[in-house]
Amino acid sequence: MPEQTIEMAHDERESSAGVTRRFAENVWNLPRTFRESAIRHGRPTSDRAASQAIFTNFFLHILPARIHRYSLQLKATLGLGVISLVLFGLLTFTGVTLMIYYKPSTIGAYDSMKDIQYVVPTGRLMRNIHRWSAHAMVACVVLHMARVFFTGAYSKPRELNWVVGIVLLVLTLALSFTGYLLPWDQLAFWAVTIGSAIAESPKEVTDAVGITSWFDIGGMTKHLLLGANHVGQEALIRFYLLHVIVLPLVTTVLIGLHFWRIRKDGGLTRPRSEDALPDDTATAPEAAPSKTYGLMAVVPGKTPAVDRALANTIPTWPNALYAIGALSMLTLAAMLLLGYFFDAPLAELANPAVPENPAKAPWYFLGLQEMVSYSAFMGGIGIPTLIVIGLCLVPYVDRERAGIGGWFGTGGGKSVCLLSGLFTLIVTVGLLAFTVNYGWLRNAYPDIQQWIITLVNPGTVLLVVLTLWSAAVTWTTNSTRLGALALFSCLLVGFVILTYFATVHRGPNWDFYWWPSQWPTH
Amino acid sequence: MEEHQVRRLQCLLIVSSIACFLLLILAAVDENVLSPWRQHQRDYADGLAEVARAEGTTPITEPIRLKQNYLPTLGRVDRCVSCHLGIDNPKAAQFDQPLTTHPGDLLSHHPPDKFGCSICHQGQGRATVLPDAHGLSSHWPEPLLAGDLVYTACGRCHYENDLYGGSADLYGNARPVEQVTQGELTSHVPGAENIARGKRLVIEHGCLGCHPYRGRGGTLGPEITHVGDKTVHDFDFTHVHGEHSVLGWMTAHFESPESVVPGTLMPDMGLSTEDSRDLAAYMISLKRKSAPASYTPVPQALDRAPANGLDLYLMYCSSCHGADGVGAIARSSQGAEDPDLEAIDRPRELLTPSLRNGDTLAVASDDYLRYIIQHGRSRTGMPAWADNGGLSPEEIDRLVVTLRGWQADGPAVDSIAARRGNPRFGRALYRSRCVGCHGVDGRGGIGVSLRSPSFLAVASDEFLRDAIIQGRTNSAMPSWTDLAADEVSDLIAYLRSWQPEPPATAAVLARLESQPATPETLHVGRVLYRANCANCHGKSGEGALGPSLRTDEFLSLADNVYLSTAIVEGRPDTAMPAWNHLSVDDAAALIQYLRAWNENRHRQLEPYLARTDWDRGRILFEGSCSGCHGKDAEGGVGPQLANPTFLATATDAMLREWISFGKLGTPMLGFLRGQQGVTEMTPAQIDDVVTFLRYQQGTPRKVTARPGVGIVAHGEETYAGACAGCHGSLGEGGVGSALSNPEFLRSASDGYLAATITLGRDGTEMLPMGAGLQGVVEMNAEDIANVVAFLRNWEHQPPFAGVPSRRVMGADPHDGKALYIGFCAGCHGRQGDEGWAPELNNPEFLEAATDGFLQATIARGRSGTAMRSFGKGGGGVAPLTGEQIDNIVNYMRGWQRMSE
Repeated sequence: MPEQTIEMAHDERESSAGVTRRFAENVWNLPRTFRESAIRHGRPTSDRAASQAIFTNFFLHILPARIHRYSLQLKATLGLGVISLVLFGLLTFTGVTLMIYYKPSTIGAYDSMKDIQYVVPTGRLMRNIHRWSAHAMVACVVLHMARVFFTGAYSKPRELNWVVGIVLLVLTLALSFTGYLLPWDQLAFWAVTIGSAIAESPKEVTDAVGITSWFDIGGMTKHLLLGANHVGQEALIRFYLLHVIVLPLVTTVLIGLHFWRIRKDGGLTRPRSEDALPDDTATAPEAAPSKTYGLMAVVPGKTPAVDRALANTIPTWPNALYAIGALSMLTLAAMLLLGYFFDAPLAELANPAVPENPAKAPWYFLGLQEMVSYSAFMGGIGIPTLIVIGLCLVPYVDRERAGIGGWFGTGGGKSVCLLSGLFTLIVTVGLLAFTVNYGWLRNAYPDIQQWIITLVNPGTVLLVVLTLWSAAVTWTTNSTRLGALALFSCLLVGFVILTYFATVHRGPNWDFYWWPSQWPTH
Repeated sequence: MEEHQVRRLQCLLIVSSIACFLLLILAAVDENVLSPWRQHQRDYADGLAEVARAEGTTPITEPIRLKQNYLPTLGRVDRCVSCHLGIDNPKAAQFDQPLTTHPGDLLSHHPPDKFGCSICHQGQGRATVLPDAHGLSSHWPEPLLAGDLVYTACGRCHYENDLYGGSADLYGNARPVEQVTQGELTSHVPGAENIARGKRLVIEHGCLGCHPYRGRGGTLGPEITHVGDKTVHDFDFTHVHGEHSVLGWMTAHFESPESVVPGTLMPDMGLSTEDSRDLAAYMISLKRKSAPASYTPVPQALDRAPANGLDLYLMYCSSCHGADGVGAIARSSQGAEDPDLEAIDRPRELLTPSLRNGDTLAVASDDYLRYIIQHGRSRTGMPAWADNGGLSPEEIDRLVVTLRGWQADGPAVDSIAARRGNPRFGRALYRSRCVGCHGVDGRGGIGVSLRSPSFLAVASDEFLRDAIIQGRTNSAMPSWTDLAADEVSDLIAYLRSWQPEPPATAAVLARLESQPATPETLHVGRVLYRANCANCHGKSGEGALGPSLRTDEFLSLADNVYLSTAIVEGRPDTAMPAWNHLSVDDAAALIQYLRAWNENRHRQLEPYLARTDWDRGRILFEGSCSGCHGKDAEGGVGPQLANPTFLATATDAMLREWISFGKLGTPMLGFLRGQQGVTEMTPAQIDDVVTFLRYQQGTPRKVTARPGVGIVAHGEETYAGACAGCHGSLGEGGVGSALSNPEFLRSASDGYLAATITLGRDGTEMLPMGAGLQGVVEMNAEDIANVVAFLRNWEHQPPFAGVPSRRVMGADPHDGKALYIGFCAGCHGRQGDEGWAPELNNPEFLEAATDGFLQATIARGRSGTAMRSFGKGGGGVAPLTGEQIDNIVNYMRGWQRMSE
């Protein structure tokens, strides 16, 4: 405190014999002075102090000082964003502990996984948590995206944040995929082999156009990914590098941007009805102890509001912290439970001579793999790119602001979504049944050109049909929002069905089987 | 926010935090207190403490910590010792698993800190929990080996369990260049009895006939060199009902191949479950040497004797040809013990011929067998063992010897003689066996004419006996080793029955006594002499091929018995035939003519029997006489002295007289002192020599080869001009018989050859070659001696190795084709390469089989198989004549010419 310092200076000048006493006093007061230097303000007792506690804290000031009461309700967001962030943090922590023992070499990787599993203290737990958190994070970010879409939280001014979110989704998938290779077991090896083959699939298109010899974008991409023509030590190092440094850094930065944009865009989306001025006031403001001009709160209106709280907001400290804390610990508890009771799989050592049959990608890519089985380029690159771009464009195409903030908006959004879901179910299952029983164009016309198949295959057909459906909805309901809702619901349901189908009903040689028990034992 | 909402959140926070905390505590306790391996270490410490208490010592306590054997050279980390604590502690012998001591003394050779555990026992060394540590989860390719299955892992370092050729791995060769040794076939790691049993099963059941191992073996099945390295992913378990492991697959496969791999070529070997398991364990023990060289013990010195022929046969041939050699045709359902066993529809190329067949081995020469084994039969299941199969030439020779060993030995020859046989039985035998080739009338066809008087006159009983029993290699004459001694005697007696009844010596003597010489009789005698004797004995009896008859010493001493016996019975195995077609008058006239040369002077000698030291006589004979008369008195420049009829009629007095004084005018000089001979012997010494000669009377027959008589080069010229046209330039035969045949040359004496050439064979195309006999060519004695020397030279320097070239020239190929289609195509196929009988239109077969082989097989068939005899007398389908058989053979040779 400045006063004390000035006093102290006077004392010094007075007596040199008391310096020892002063020194001893300082040492005795060390715990208190240290605590006070770290925790400046103590437990907040007023709204202003609560704001100050958030505002002046390095870690907490990403949160707003006051938060809208609607945002803390579970039905507003289902907490999915927080859960995703917590999972990311958990993944980072467990990932770093794994890095102590994991060896990114084709010779050492598998054995180091075994050592982590059996010998390293808490190794089994860390590894399992890492694995299950990764799966959970992919699921959660997808659900988070769905929540944002269904609540219309992408609309102006939040379009850019939506795009950043899509990028974060891609990054999450990339992180999961790069991590998948690291155990270097049969599962990993062949999944990445397939992934690299998909990366090479633009060759299908360049071949059709005839430019492969001087612009082999497919081959270049694959070589960039693998560092060689095959999955080996180079690929392992690259994937390791991506997984532990590059992608986490980029993700962290973009998460920061994502939160920054939430703050600048006015907080989490809420229905218009929630913003109405209430007649109550929250708590009475307190007199400031001194003249400072820190920005404490903003109120609507043209003049500074004094003695009046922000409408419908509550102090972040401690309410939001309780909410976030509870969600975090719940997530952690769930992951601990999973990690303790269920071991992450580890198949046999990677053996390039013995292909897995069927070699399946991780579950979140299985829907894609099903489409890849129809056309490598379309299923692996074409359709995902179209979907990603399409999703990014949604906020710019649908500018309607009615019903933003609530689920499914107003005016029949819910029924549109359900109907779209049903429609997708029928179309997808029908298309799959047709393909399984009758094959596709090449069965009838063996000499058909590949580019025709690339353009006309069950994946593209499905995408076109769903797009047409959403166009029909848009046109008949006269609402881009409903059309967007329809499209998103279709894509979500389609994704789920395709993923399920490829998980359960595809066996060796990607043939159709009713159940895995029917697969021929090898 | 409402108060209750905040409370709810606080509650949730506290509860989930406590849950997290508890879970962490749980995980920590589980890992640091409750791990099974920690419990085992506590139990172990308790056990040791108890033992120490009983002994009165203080136990050594160790802290509870994870233990491992870190083995970077093997690429393994084995943590088995965290639970298996007592493996090298004898005090732990009474503990239960996993704390107990390792059985046996294996750890003294394989210390765990150098070897670890998993290199022998498999399992997952890095794991610390069950069942992962024992490798029993589905993602570990090496499950724990228990019981005697542990021995299957020895093959990772040891060579003893391998079948053979371990050194090839050491020296990096693909195929071992050395022969398989006996030691390799019987070796196994000490204690590995199931491995030893499995190895024996591989040898006995002939797995290598289809499955190659280290580059040797058949080609029908997959290679088994490192079959133990395969994992469960390499096998199809669709039809396996037992455990889904490599051992389970193999055991099921060996018990019943067809049920595990439908449509397989692998036959059911009738193995029991235990045998199948042993064999499966053995297969699993065949592993690549995966440890560094420092871990591999040097292969011990094993028995380096090459594997014997029977083991080779079992290993490589028995799976197709049968452990008993009887082949696969006989194993169809018609012969199976189990009548419920259906005849498996085997692919055509797997119907294997019978090897242990008397008729096959009688006709197939060693050359034939060797050729077929070396080159295989293309397009059939018989591999080329010399190249693809990987057998060395010595091993193939041993195999041939083994096969030959299946042939009956043949009867004891000492008791065989014509006089002991019954010609009526002989006729029955002849009608059943010989008629197809030698003709009903004995005048020949495929075989030579036996009924020729000059042949029977010159061929001794021994010659006939040897020809019958040994046959003629690579010709159509089989070796009839299955005949009994008396049967052979019967046959010879029957053949002799074709000879005219010789004039009885007594009758001749009586005739000589009663009727003295008249000019007519002398004339008859001279005519007879000029016609029959002059070629060998000279126009005036001065001797040429045969000894001189004109010397006074000879004629004055040789009595009528001597002369009559010599003429009528001849000298067997020399060039002096038995002139048994002469009538009594003729024989008498001939003797009178001879006597006229020394004007009937006759000297009587005192009777004398030589009974002194024959051994001394032998030495003297060797020194003085053998140069001309041969070391064993078998003849040479001088006549054969060890000749039964000679010694029967020449008395000791005659012998002594001739030795002492020689025969003037011949190279036989007098040996008595003072006779100005080459050597000077005392009378006592001459007595010894006579004793020695008398001693030769009982000795068995030797074939006379007269070295030094005749010039080979001249004989070659003469032969080429006079004989090669019929007998082939290399003596391989053609119209005439094969003269360079080793059995023939072994049993035909020089005298036989000389006499045959001189006199020819009546009734055949072999015309007399001697001068004055109105033959094609007139050879003098010198020429004949040269030719004989040339023929004899073939015995020492065979003109060709292996299979002789072709000799049959069939007259009518169209007839041959018609006959083939009529009689053979039903089983052998229209082109000789279809049907279920062995492929005839097969390049290797036609190369290896001589025409004689083909003739004999067609004529005789193969008893015990489906090949009937097609010649006369065999009771076969249709009695074909020799000409017809020749036509068929010629037609078959046409296939060979076409493919060339």
